[in-house]
Amino acid sequence: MRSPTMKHSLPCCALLVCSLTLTGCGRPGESVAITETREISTHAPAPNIDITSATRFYDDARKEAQERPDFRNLLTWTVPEGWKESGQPDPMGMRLVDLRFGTGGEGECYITLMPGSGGGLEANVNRWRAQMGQQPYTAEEIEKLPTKPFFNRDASFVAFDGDFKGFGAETAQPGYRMLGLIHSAEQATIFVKLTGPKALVEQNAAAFDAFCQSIKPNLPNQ
Amino acid sequence: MTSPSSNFPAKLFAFLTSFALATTTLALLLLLTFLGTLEQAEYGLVASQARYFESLFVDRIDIGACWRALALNAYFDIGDIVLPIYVLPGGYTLMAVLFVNLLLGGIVRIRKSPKTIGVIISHFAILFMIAAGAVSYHFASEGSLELVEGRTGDEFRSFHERVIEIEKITTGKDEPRRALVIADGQYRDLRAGDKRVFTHESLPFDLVLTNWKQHAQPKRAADDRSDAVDGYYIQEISTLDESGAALPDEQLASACIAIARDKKSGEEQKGILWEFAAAPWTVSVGGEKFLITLDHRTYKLPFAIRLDKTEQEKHPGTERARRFTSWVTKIADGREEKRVVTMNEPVRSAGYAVFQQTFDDGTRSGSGVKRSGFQIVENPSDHWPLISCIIVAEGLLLHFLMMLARFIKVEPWKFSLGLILAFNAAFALAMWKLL
Repeated sequence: MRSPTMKHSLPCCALLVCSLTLTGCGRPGESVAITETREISTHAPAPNIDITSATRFYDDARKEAQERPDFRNLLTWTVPEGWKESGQPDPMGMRLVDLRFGTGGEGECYITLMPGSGGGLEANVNRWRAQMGQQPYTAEEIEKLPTKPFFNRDASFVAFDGDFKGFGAETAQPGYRMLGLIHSAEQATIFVKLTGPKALVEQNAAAFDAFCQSIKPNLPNQ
Repeated sequence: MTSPSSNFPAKLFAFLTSFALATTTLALLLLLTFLGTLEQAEYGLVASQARYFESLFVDRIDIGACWRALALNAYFDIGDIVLPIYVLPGGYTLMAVLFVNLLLGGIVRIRKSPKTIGVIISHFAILFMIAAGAVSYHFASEGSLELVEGRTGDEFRSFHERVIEIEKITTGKDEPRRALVIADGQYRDLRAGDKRVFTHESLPFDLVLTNWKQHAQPKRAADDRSDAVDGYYIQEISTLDESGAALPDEQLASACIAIARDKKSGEEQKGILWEFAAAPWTVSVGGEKFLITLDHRTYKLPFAIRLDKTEQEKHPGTERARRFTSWVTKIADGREEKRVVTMNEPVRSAGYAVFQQTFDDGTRSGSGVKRSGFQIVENPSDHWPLISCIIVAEGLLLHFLMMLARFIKVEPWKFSLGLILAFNAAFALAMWKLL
């Protein structure tokens, strides 16, 4: 007859034996064949190729910041009559120039410059449409956007009506109109955006065109 | 007289169904919970979970960490004592043993009678719950998808799983992009001096991985450093924060050294792979380019999501967020469907649940562009624990009511089933009113 001690030690012994048996399991060998693959989505961002270690590890970010020119000095423009520069700093500090027009300064127009594609034309146009409470455009609709000459090239032009809710605003402002021009080059993308009450914007549409045409690169030799 | 060999199945069955095995298993589970919870303070949730609750055997026990978690070092500091043993079975093994024990003992061997029907139902429900855990462990995936307004995505990144991916740069515009994937379990044991070669027939090079670190940052190397790669070396960083608590797994940035060895010439290119790198490491072999990344595992969704608009609602008079809401378009097979995702109200589709997780009005990223982060969960056994809890409750209720009926000498079935019916009706009514 087995003693109670022996009987109860059986489960523990069994677990111990199992554990010792499996101790060496699990570590892959010195050479392993790769067996897993995956298809990368068509929505995934385009790959960045041949990027230096300094850039990959953000080591050049500080140096670049020190060397970064003041973007305001890269461009020149002519402020339309009746428009004036805003006295308030813009919320994100990204505007090269921030103009106001209208009796109470209800209309605003500003230029921003972003490196590279700046997120892409489709994302930016649809972001603006969302600000106007409009449904996003499809890729086909984006392709069909009208263009206007800008910087000796074509820039995509947009004009939307709707209820405007700008960055950081609590509520939307009804009856607004937005005009915008987006020009994307390999190095940077420039945005010119005008918003205001619809009637005021329509009055200033020609001034907007003139303002856009006045924006030029600030070349020292010219 | 029966021979010992013919007795063996009976003995094995008796062992597997024994109360001693059940008690030992439950005691060991209690011990695992105790140790795992204590180690979590220094190793973090994910690491402790993997070591104690998802493993076949616990590879080592950090007694020092447990001691400090109990604040006993205030009285006596035992230092860093680590037991490098494979003796303690892990949670996976114990749950498997418990499943077998409960199935054979609590369903097969148990005496079948009206007196035990409630207990059998409860045992069945516990088996169902253990099965739910196994299904969740093997088949569930969860991660995050971040979108800016106007953008579409159909992939999500795992929260905790890391992989190394090798993508060959394709020249054709419509050519599908593919990547070879190396799971982190295949290289995370490669400390300094260890190396492993990864091969694939489509690659013109073999990839050698070495010097993996769980949390690290590449640093510019001085000229005399022998471990420098392209002017940088991997500096290991503590996985503990300033207060000594473990950093969340999501904040850890693993790194390793990769060597691409040309299969023909044997020529080697060396690079550092780092989880937080701004771009992949590019390898050029035989006129072809390959991108190699160390990143979180990517899962494909069976549908795409376009973020149309996202808003946050704040508590009146404060900057504290009350609710984030995203208006999205679900795109599947060319069909578009408008859906709204908001906090605690996920969108469920094709076995996936899409939760609103984060929101950025452009301030956090500094871009001024609004973006939403979604938590994506795919778990085939999502509701199984709830169902099993309800069945356990019903089984135990039946058992206790039958015992009560016999005690007060009334007809057990009518009494028990009548009361259970009444309880369920009251519960359903309460839930209906609450929800």
